[in-house]
Amino acid sequence: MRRFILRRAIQSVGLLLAISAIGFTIIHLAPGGPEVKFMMDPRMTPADIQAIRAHYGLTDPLPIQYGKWLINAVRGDLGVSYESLYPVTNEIIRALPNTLLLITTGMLLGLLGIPLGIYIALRRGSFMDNMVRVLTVAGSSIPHWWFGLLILLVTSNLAISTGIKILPLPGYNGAEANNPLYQVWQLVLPSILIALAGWLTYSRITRTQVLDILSQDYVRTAHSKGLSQSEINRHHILRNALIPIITTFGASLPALIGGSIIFEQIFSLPGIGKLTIESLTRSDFPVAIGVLMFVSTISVVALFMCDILYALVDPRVRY
Amino acid sequence: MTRSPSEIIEPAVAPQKKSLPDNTRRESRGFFRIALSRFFKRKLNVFALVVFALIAIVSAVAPILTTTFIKTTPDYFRASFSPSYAPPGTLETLRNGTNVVHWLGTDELGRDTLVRLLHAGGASLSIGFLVTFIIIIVGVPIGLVSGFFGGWVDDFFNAVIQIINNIPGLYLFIILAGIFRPDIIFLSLIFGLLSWTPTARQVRGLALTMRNREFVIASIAVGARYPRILAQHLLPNIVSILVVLIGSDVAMAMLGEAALSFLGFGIRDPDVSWGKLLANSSNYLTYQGNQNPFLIIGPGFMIFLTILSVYLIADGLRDAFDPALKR
Repeated sequence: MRRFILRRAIQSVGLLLAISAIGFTIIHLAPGGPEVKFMMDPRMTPADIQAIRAHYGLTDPLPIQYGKWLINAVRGDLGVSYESLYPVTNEIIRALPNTLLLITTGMLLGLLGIPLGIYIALRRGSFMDNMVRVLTVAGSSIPHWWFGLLILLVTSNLAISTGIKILPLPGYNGAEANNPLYQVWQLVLPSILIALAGWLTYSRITRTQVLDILSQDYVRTAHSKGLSQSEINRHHILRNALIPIITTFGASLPALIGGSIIFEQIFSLPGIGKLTIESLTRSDFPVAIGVLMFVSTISVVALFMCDILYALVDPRVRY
Repeated sequence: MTRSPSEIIEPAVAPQKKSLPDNTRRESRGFFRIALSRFFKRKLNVFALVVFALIAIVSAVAPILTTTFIKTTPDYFRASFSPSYAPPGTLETLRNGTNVVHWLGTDELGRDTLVRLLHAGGASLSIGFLVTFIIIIVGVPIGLVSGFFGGWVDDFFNAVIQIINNIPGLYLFIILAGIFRPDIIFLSLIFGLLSWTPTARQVRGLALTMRNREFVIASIAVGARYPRILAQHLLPNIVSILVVLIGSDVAMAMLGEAALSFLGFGIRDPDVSWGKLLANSSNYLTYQGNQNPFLIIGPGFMIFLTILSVYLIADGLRDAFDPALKR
């Protein structure tokens, strides 16, 4: 087990190195840079632009730039934003709470799909089962963020015509910026929309798994031993059904983190996704690569933990 | 896009015709024919196929359709008063004197919503299928090779897949799209190159189970070269699963394109796609857009309808090809 963890850890570090090298190269191939802000200024001479680029170390050959960046990044310094001149880490830390809160609530709510999956599997063929199946197909054909737009359309129309505010109107509300209750209220719809993806996936996978397990010999044995259905559900079915769910959970994490961009955009939550979009529209590359590395690190670490969890839950896994 | 399924599947079986004796050839064609008749027996499958074909045809002929029947182009806008959302069914006399009915109203620049919806389908569908094409072109050979050969080839491609899977895709994607400002083809290329990994893994798994089967060992024994074994013995055996993978890839690509265009990093300005039509939706929500809810309902509903029909077709094909899989 220790050898497995060690090997997996080394692998994760290698992954991060590869991602950073690729990301760094791509971003530095791009036109633009710190001089873009000054481009409209007629007094700028080519020598000035050269001086600005040299100031940010952009005149060095790419491998040297990468080396310097990497050494600083390991120390927790991701450089300085071209736009705001704040350290990139500050920008990320300022945006992080919103994104983190959104993703974790969405993720935890999404896990409710597991009991749903067990429920419909145990009542296979019932009305509920069929309804969930239909909803699953329909739900995976709808862009969830469009669903969010629809709900916003209805609630904002309602708010404008009758004054009843079920959900906050989209857009940044400066008056309520320091009201924690308002912020929780603001997170309700986006986290439910994120959870929707979880409900769809987990209920489907759990259902398939449970149906598979129900036909196993050990379940029949448990029945013949005289165990009650609830005991079999807990000890024999749930534990075995959880194994593939952990894998799915891990595999869906990067998509989950990526998906937060779109919800932050719709609901005007100043999180990591909004930071990325802004940095790209202003060709603020240190922020872009910083954010990319940050979210990649989160997802690599999360996948690493999922793999270990997988090995812990399933003693049959040998590495 | 409007070809019948039998035409899509036939070329994939063709290699088997040459390599196998006469009686097996008839059997393998029979398999597909039985599967197809099973597919067409279910009304839902036929319905989904008809809906999808209608969407594809209408999107393909949208330019002709809109200029002859609605008499306006997606870019035509009223500059006179702005913002000028018109509610559904508004009658307008254009500058050249023709009368136009905006069945689904107009957007903030006075562009007809229905016309833009019809035009947008082309870009959305072509990106969906281009991306899928790239996924298949890249993912299937890599999956076959790494599953069949194993060893360092497998390790190498596994490392590549790990790298791609560990990056939150949408972030890398908007960074690439934000930097390079790609056109439709380049966009599909980036998208395809970032999302071939699930397909490759599936194909790898299938190749892994097949590489020790008798027919593969036999062809190695008679001295067949590896490309031939991969193309003529392994590939035909996974065609039925590929059909299903294609369905989910198309859906995934269309959803991804919609998200990206919505964020403003996908399709660029003169072109429209369903996702891009939603890009200004935050404006439609707060103030005058309330007069025309179709600006938000329309594009999303078209995405929903298209992807639902693609899913149903893929699902129907899977059930038709593999009745044992059905629960």
